[in-house]
Amino acid sequence: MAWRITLGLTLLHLFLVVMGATQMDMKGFGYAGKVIAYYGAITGSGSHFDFFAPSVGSPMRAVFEVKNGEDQVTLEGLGETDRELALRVGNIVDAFRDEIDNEKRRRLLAVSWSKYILTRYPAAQQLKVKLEQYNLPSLKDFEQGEKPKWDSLYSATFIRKGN
Amino acid sequence: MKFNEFQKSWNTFWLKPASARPLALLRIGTALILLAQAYWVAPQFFAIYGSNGILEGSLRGEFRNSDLLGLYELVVFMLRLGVGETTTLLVSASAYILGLFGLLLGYHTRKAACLTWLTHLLFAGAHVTSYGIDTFIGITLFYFLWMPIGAAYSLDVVSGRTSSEPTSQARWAFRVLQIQLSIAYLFCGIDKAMGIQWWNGDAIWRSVMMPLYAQFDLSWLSKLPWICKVAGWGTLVLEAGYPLGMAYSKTRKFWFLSIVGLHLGIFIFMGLHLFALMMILLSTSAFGLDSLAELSKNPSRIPFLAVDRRPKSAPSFFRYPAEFLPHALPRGEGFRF
Repeated sequence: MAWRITLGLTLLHLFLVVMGATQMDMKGFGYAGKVIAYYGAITGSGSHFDFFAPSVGSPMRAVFEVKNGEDQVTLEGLGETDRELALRVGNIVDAFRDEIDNEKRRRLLAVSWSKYILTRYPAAQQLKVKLEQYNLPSLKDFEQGEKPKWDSLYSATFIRKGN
Repeated sequence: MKFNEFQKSWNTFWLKPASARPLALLRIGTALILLAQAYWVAPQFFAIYGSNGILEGSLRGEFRNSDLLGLYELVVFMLRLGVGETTTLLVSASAYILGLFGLLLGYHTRKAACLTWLTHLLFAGAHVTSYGIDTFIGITLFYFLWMPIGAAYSLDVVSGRTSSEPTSQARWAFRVLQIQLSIAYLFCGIDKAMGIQWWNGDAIWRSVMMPLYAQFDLSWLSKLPWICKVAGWGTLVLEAGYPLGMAYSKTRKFWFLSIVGLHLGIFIFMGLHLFALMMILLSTSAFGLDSLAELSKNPSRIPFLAVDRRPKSAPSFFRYPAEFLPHALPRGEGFRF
C-alpha cells in the first residue's frame, strides 16, 4: 500500500514536471493553481527548460563613466570580473530590458547601480550610466561585411549632491 | 495473464533493487560543483545579496524570478527581531556551506540535504541572478531530500547508519531521475525547434559569438555556415531525441556520449563551466555509468571508433554492470525510507 501511494505521488510529481515544461500558467486555475505554482517553484517541477530557446537573445551591458573633480573619466562595470559573476550580474542587467514599458522601474535600477558604483569612487563628482544591447549580425550579414555593435538603450547622468 | 505480465514488468521497472552508487556520485559531484560556485561568488557575495549591493534595499524584493519567499524576506524578518543583515547573510551562507560539506562527505546526509535545499532556495529560488544551473540544482536538491543518496561512498555507510545494499528505493529514485531528465531534454529540444535560429545555424553562431559567452574568436564560422547549421540540427536531434535515445539500449551509449560531447562544447566554447559539468553529471548518474563501465572494459567499442569484432551470438554489450544486475525482489519487500 505504501508503495502504491509513493508511486502515485511520484507520477503526480512527474505530471506536474510535464505541465511546467509546457509553460502552462497554473495561476489561472484559482487557488489550486497557485498551490501548484508554489509547489513548482519549490521543487523545480514548474521549470520551463527553455534555455536558449526558441532563440538566442542579445545580451546587455551596463557601462559607467565616472568623472572626478578634475574631469578625468574612468570606465566601470558592475563587477563582471569572473565567469560565474558575469553570468549572474548579466541577469541583473537583463532585468532592465524586461522593464521596457516601465520608465520608473528602469530609473530605480539605474539609480541603484549608480549608487553601487559611486561607493567605489568617493571622489567622483558625476556618473553617466549607459545601457547597451549587443547587436550581432546574422551569419549571412556578417559574411557580407556587417559588423557587430553595441546599441544604446538608455542613458542617464547622476551628479553627486553637495557640490 | 497479460495484465499480470505487465504488472510484473511495471514492478520490476520501478522496484528491482539497485545500487545507490550512481546517486552517490550525483551527490558528491553536485556538492563539489556547488562548492566551486560558492568559491567564485564569495568575493561579490554582498554585492549580489546585500542591501548596499547592485540591487539596493527593497529592489531585491521587487525584481525577482518567482513568488517564492527568499533571502530578502528573511533579512527583513530578522531585522524585526533585531538581527542585522550582515549576520543573517553570513549565517545563511555558512549553513549552505555546512550542508554542502555534509553532502560531500555523506555525513548525516538527509539532514545535510535538507539544509542545502532550504538555503539554496533562499539564495537562488527567486533571486534575479539565478540562471540555468540553478534550475537543475534546485531540482536535484529537491530529489536529494528523499533519494537514498547517502547509501554509498558516505560516512553514513562507514559508521553503519545506512546500508549500502541494493534497494528498491534506489531503483525508484533512479527511474525518477531518468524520467525527469528525459522530460527536461525533450522540452529543451522542442522549444528550440520552434525558433528559426536553430534551423539556420544562427543560434550556434550567436551562442559562440556573444560577448557574454564567447571564449575564442570564431568569426571564421561565417565563411563555413554549414558547421553552425549542422551543429544546430544536431543539438535539436540530441535534445528532443534524448528520451528515446537513452531508453533504447542500442542507442544509449551513442546518445550518452553525444550528450557529453554537447555539454563539453558548451564548457569549452561558451564558458558555461558549472552548468556544463552539472548536466554531464546528471546524465552520467542517470544513464551513463553502465556505458562508461562497459567502455572502460573495452575501449574499442567507443562509437565512431569502434570495430565490433564480437561473434554474432555474443550477448548485447548494453548491459548493466554487476551492481545493477537484477536481484530477485524478496517476497513482501515494500518500500523502505
